[in-house]
Amino acid sequence: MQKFFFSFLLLLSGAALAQDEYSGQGQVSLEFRQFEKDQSELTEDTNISIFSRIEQRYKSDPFEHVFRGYARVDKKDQNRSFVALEDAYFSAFLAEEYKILAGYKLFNWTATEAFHPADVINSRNFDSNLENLEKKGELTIEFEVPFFNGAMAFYYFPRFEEPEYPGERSRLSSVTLQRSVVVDGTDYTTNEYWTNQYGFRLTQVIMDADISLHYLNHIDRNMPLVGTTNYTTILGSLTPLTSQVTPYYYRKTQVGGTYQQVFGDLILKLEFAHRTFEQDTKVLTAKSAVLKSQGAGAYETKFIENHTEAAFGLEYVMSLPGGIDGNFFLEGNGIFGVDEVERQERSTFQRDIMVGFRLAFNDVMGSEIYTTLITDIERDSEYLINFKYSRRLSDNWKFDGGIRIIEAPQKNPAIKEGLEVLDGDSYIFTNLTRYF
Amino acid sequence: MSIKFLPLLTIISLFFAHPALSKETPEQKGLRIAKMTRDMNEGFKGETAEMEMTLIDAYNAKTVREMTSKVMEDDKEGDKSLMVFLNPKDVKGTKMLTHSHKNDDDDQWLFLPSLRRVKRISSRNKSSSFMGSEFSYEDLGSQEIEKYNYKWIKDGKTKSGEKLWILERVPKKKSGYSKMVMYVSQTKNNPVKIDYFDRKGELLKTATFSDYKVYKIGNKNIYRAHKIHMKNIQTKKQSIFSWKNRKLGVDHKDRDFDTRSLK
Repeated sequence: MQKFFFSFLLLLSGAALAQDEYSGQGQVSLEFRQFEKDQSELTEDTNISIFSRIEQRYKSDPFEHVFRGYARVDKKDQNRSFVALEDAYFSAFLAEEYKILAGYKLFNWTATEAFHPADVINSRNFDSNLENLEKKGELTIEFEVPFFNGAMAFYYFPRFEEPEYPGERSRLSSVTLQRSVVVDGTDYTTNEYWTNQYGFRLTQVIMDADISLHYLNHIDRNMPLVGTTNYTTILGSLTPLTSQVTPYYYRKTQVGGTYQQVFGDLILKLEFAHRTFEQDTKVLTAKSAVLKSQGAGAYETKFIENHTEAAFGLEYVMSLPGGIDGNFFLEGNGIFGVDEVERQERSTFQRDIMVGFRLAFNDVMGSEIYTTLITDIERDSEYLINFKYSRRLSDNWKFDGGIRIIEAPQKNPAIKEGLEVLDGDSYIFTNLTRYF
Repeated sequence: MSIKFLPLLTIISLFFAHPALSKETPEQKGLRIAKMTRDMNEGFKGETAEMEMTLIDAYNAKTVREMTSKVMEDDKEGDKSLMVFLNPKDVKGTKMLTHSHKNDDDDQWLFLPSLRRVKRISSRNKSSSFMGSEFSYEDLGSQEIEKYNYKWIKDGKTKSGEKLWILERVPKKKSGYSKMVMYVSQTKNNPVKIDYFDRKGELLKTATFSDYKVYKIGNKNIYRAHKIHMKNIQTKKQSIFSWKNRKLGVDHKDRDFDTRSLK
């Protein structure tokens, strides 16, 4: 159905070709990634895929139509092959000022580079880069009005978009998951993806600062409880009646915001979100490593604890000899209001620091180096290093390649947690892209 | 005093009150000329253009960059501009929004189309190269006169006999240059040449402004150069900025220049 819709919109977009204010662009990339060997016959250590993205935009003031989507076809891992809509919407300005929009839309509410507590609208593809996961468009109705030096936007989201998970042959997969289940109050059996979700966002530019505040009531997309609701109690012990595990996504209310301010060569970035989850339904999950070490049972029933997540960032901009531009990044994040066990279950990045550096050589070919180190300050010996080099080959061709090193030795032989799931899954990658 | 002497007295007092005719320092004269040329260039309301930038390396190899721009005049605070990159294709759709300020650093935002992200950037680092060219962001950014100290050096003439004011311009705040020497046409009220001196005081680049066209906006004639040829004296590299389909007097909407317009 989604593929049909994608094709239909592509045709619709093509109809706008003859218009004056039409713009189109796209890319086709040959992607290659090679993981370090894991001695397992069940997973693919090599991925070769074709990634394509197309964007078309037609503007005839006050109306605008935008379409963008991407597709990936992997030669070795069929589960990596999928099509995603990012934007497919129509918008119009009413009475010059009031904007109304309907369709699929990609949001980016983040202020920082690596940690994104405020940027939670879109579902992600969890088989992409951890700190910048690919997104899927969200079906949206939006009404935006100007307000002082910014705008107020009201949102209605009628549908839960299911996140993409790595398949069983992916090195980034820890367990094969069933279709995602939406937990809406006490309802988790109908598993209806059509549901009422809504939100509000205020953005303001005040002198050198950009400020945003938001309120959301929607089905969470980033912190599922993985387990089952199909269980029983045998001799006082909780026992699952199925070996299949399912991600359960709970309805939550989120109040959050972002702040960015320029101080000369320094940019300060802040991002926060307080999340209140509906707690009417409990899911049977495997107990955490800490509880297991204390001799408790293998399973427990639970819901998601309310918590606050915050991130800060500093970006320092500098000019280096030879016309080179440098950007130095320092960022950190934390989940607060819950204990260490809950924190570690909620996110891979629960108390982490990122140090990064970007060098733009400002040459004709736009050569650039970007490297980051993310390390966990709560859990020992966990770090993620990313190094990427990119360079244009011509006006239309670009090459990028690099390495991602993931180190997170398993601390408890009974269970892998957080980044431990990806320990030993370091890989090198190259992408050759033709833009058009 | 008889009332018949009043017109004569008025003329005499106006004569001595006019700053151009009283004794003024080179700094005062430089600032006066800068203000006068600014006033002559104001009133364009809004501008749209397609731009092409040709990069020429020391071996004469050429690369072309393309972009479009919109400018909205704001004589209270500073102009607002939006630049959209079209070529090379990997940066197509990248937008840069600038809100200029007369006495403060400009506000700048970059829209990264692949991430759909609007990112605030620091405008302080103006000496960086613009898209790998010999132009820096400072060369292409707002040229509000409040940001510089001016000094008149002398009057001059071009080879074709066009009268010039030769001014020295020194940035008040952090800059990639120690000074600029401007050769300003007295008829076009715009530069025909600017020499840029690096922080060590050595000649770094020379920009030549040509292909001037005149636009009639209301009762004003406003000149705009359609070609700027920047030569880097030290590296021998060159860049040529040229304009096509330029329109002045365009009525832009405020919403075309707020951060919402970037998405």
